[in-house]
Amino acid sequence: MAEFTLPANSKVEKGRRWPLEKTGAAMRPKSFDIYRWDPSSGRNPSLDTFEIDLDDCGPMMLDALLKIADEVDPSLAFRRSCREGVCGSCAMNIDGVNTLACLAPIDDLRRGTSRIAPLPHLHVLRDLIPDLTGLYAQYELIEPWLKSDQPAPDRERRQSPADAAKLNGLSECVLCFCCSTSCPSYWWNPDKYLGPAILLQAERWIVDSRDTHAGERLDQLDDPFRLYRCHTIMNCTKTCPKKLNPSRAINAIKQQMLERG
Amino acid sequence: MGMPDKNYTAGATALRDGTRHRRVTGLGSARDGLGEWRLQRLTALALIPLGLYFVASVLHLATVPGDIASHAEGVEIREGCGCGENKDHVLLHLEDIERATLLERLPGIVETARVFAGLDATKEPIPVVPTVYYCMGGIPTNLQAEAMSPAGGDVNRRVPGLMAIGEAACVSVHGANRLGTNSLLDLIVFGRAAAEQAVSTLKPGRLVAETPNASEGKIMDRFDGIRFKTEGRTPGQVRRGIQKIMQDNFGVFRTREAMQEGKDKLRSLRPEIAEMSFDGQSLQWNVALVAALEAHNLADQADVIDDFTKRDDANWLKHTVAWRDGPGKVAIDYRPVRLKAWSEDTPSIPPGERII
Repeated sequence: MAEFTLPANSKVEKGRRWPLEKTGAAMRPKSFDIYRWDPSSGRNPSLDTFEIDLDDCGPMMLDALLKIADEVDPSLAFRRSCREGVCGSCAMNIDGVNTLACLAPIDDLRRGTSRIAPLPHLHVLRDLIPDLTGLYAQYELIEPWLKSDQPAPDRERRQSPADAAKLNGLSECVLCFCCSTSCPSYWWNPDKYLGPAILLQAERWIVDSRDTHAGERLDQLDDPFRLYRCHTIMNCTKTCPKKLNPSRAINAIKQQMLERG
Repeated sequence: MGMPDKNYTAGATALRDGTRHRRVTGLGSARDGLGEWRLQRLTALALIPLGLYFVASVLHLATVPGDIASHAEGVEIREGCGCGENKDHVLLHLEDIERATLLERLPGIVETARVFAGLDATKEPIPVVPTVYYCMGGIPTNLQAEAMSPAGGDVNRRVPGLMAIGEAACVSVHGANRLGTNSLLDLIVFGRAAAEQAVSTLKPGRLVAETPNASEGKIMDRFDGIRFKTEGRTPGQVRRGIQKIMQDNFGVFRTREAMQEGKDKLRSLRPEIAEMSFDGQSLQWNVALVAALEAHNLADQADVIDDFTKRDDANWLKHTVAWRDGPGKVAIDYRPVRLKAWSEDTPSIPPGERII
């Protein structure tokens, strides 16, 4: 029988409460339960509750996190960089949905207390920061760079507008891994299945007209686990904060496998 | 103005509205170990006219040079011709461009306007303000990406084994305004040069140089000094204080009076910075510690250069090199500017008056 309770040292405890200071001025309070864990503390993870005034905060979830870190509890740890959806750093689980905090308007969250947690099914390094080592290793496996047998030209390797357009919907991926960590199939086999983010990247190089190693790339994916653990659940496409379609990319790879026999 | 949190600390400034990434936080972490660390051309900041009013963004629209458009926008706003309730921005009309062209050529702008301002740029104008988006200054390097630390009359003195690329470096390929796509050049061309230099100089398992004990001690003292403080303002509060001063006193328009005032204000923040603290000594992902170290670095960066209206090549055609000369002191020296192309096939373009 499967064990359905967390091990004792993983049980999430009730954490600290940081209520909004009442100043008498009109306010628009909002509460966030945020997952906290510091490996050096020796304590269990907890959910800390932060209450902030939305009238004195930027519009996105990332603004709220920065406000909390700047004004309430500087020890709150999360990754962030570009704050405009191009770096993929601030991926996290917001009210049950994997997304980028910088693209998630607070007003679109559910009423009452929202729950902020790290991306699911990864080891947590601290607070909202997951360990991405496995995902980066898988990314390296697909050799995400241009491989060409053609001699290097004097100037750039050119591409027709039509060929360049084939990369649309693939090259915009920011490797935030919201998709892979929302995929039940990836949850089960994160060590063997490459998952939607990596497969979308693989397709990005397979269809690149300047790359001459598509066959080899397909060989590398022709494996019951690496590619075929995708069961078209499509959580990946539903959750992608960049509105890409990893499921379609995976299908395209499967189709190319069939076509070449 | 702008989103409440923008931190642009690399090298030179902390203007409040900018497009720079939060993780690009400059050179200061290496600073104490290299007491006489040199930085070149710290005031050379690129302004982009298209910072979206509600979120500054890296947008490119190559109609007029960015510095000229930024300046023009700044003039409009300063002279009370800005748009909106506070007359603090201008409106960018893209809706005249054919929708298909806009979506094909400027998808990023359309997307950013939609997400952050809730506007359809194909149908309505978008509010913009001049924004900082690139620092041309940084650690002076040679073409092999090796850091240079001019001293004792040797303007090209190398620091063996230490390399800088990208926005941290100042190979000085840009001039006073960043040229379009040349930030990629900074990364790709000099990234490759750095890699080749590393391969040719490093031997596995062999030290480049011993770390002098004194600098190691200094680094650890600074690190622990911040880490074990328990009372004071948080790094975020201190950083916002610095940002406000930089925005108010060292903005698009810089005057001697405003900068002098800003310098005094920055000085007055010093005790606050020295007493900055946060709760938590953890060595695992201690982002507050990083933020505190960054705020310390910011506090040391306050040099003043006037905005002159005419070029003065006789006196000022040279690189300014600045370094920290004791607590709270900045020393300044100069390096010559190389105006000749490295390749004989390429003619050199002489500097000229900026036409606005």
